[in-house]
Amino acid sequence: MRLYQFKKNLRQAMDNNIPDLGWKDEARNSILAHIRKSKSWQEQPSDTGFEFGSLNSLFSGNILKPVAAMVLILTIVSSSFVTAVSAARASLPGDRLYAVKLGIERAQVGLTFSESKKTELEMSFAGTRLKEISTIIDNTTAEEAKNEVKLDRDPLEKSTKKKEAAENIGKAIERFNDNLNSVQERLEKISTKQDNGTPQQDETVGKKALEISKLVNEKTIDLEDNLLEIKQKITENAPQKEVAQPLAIDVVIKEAEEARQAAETVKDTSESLPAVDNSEKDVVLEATAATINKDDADLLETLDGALESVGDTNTKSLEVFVEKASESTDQGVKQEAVEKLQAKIVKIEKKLVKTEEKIEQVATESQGVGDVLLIEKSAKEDIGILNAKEYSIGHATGTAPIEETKAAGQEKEVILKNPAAQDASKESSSPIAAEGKESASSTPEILIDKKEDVLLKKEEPAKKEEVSIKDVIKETQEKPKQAKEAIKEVKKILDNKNTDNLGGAFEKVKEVIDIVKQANQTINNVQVEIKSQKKAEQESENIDKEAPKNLNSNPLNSDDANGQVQGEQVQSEKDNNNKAANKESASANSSDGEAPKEGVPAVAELNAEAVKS
Amino acid sequence: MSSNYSDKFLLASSLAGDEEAFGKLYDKYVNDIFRFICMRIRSREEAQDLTSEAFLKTWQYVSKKDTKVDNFRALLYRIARNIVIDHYRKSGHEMLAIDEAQFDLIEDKELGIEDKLKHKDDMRVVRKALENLNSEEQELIAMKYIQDLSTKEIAQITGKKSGSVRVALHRAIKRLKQELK
Repeated sequence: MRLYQFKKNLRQAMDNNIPDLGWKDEARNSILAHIRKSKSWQEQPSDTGFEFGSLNSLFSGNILKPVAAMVLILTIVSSSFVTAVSAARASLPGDRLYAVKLGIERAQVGLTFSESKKTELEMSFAGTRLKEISTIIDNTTAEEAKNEVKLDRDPLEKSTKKKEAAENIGKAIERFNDNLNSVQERLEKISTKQDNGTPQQDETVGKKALEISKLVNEKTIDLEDNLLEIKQKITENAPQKEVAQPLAIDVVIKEAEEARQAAETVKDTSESLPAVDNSEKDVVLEATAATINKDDADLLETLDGALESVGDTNTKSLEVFVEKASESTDQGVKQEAVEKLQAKIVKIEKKLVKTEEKIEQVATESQGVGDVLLIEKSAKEDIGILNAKEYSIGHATGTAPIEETKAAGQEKEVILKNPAAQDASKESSSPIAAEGKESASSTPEILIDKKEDVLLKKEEPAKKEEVSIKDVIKETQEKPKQAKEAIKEVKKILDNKNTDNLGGAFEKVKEVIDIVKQANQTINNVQVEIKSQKKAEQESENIDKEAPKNLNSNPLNSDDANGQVQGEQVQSEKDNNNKAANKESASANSSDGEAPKEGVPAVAELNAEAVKS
Repeated sequence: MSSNYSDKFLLASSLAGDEEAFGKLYDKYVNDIFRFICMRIRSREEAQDLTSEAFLKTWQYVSKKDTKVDNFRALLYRIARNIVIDHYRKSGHEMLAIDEAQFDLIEDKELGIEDKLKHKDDMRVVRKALENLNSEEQELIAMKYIQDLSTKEIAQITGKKSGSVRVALHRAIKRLKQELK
């Protein structure tokens, strides 16, 4: 027998000898499970200390890095695609191979000729970004859970790690947005590219556009779901960390307490002590929570941006789809377009409800600011007739009684009591109330509080902003109504099965989307404004370490501590007014589903003072 | 792109956190390693156990810090080889010659009876020829002709110098030719 024959036979004999398929899968799973648990994998996902041979040295050199990456990308793209690409594809933001991964993606898009294929690729890359983010979050949580004790002792390291993860997520989101943007551009190109060539060509182009816009439309819905999932993951993680933190907080509080006890021996202020302690704790807690949550908050904001981007892409794809569908002669496609529009409307309606809730929430928050301001101002100085007059000019309807009141401490009660003012506020909110939405129920309260805000803020330099916030909230509250009307019109068009006016329906839908978007944006801005306002107040309180501070920062347990400064001014005023006001405000609160929490104690305080006096 | 480079990619990304990349390496080599181990282990079940052990040990090795992996395939074979040696050391048996049963597995349905008989005859020759070699020669022949490993890789697996592997391989082939005559 010849050697080559021997080789052939031997190989044949061996080729038939393969392991059982069932075993192969089983063993694979158990090996991968083992790897998942493996220590080095969980500890250092991005820097595992592996030696990458010659590639490693190429990558470590800064000059050669881009060249090496380019060469790699070219080789990968042009040759044995599947395994190599999937290898780099596994990398995450922050990994060494991540640049290669992005490069491969770009090259893939670059090497594709058809616009629709490019769009498809980019959509899938956007999906990959989200997967990466999800993996990063999972890894970070796993890591944190594992090193919980260690990390708790070392908050600095913890925050660095968190920051790193947040940065990497930010990177991925940035790319995600880029991907979606170019998808939108491509869609635009696809939709405009038509009038060149034979009608037959045009038809195929139109069909392609239909296909791709449909695909993008469906994918964006998936992406949105994924993004929401990620958002939920982050929000779920956030409170855990707060719970994990108290160790550190307790230490700080203990120190503060010790310092306080030392101070006590010098100066015996036994009555105010517990209240001060509480507020101290509060401040520390808030400060720590703020630093911990800042990263999360930033992340959530970025995610919101990404969500918006997805929404835009979805709208764009819908636009192209509807446009092409109305040009098409196929009735089935038109029907599909109608269905898609209806689905979009359902989504918008959901979003609208959320927006309304948000408006309500912000309005409630703004109420909190009003309360704090009221007490602070009343403790410090009188707000005279002048301010009240200015107010009444600003809000022409029946504010006369206010002009008669002179003491600042009474402003709140007066307004609450003032039926004319309430009427006015109800009036402005009545259209919304007619819609039967939740936001309507709390509107009178909100407006009243906003008036206080304006009233108190008149003498401040930032007066303009305050006015605008109030106006903005009022204006924003009108938006859902507008949106709903537009939705009604769209529904009318769609319900008639009138497929001729698809374009018109889409225009309306777009209008609604814009309204909702705008409302969301403004309400977010208002929220930020209010928050900064609150923060500024708190800071000024911290500087001014007098008794009034406790009233503001911690109204719930300051019933007995607040009497001193504020009481004297309020006392001289009519007690009856107080009682009546409390009754009114209580009834107003109880009529709300979600009465603003901060409003109640503030009123209760005044009530307590009144009883005392 | 050479297979070694794509191995490096897969290995790097599995170390960077992608378990599926190691899964791909597994898919790529599991049959070869199983065959390699089967050459020495009579029981299929045992061979399968040792195969998965080889992959696990390989992972443990590469995931250690400061480990330099130049050739993943060679590493995998080396570890598999050591596992087989360990297995025999533990059980106290002599290393077995190539398993007879493997050659009986072949069944080519398209062949006629005459061809079948000829084929069976050929296989017997092959087996006989292999059996007459010593275990070191068998191993070399197997690595060279069944696993398609290069001399350099064989050197890495067996821990010998390239030169001596080349010489040993040359001798083994020479002896094999004699046996085949």
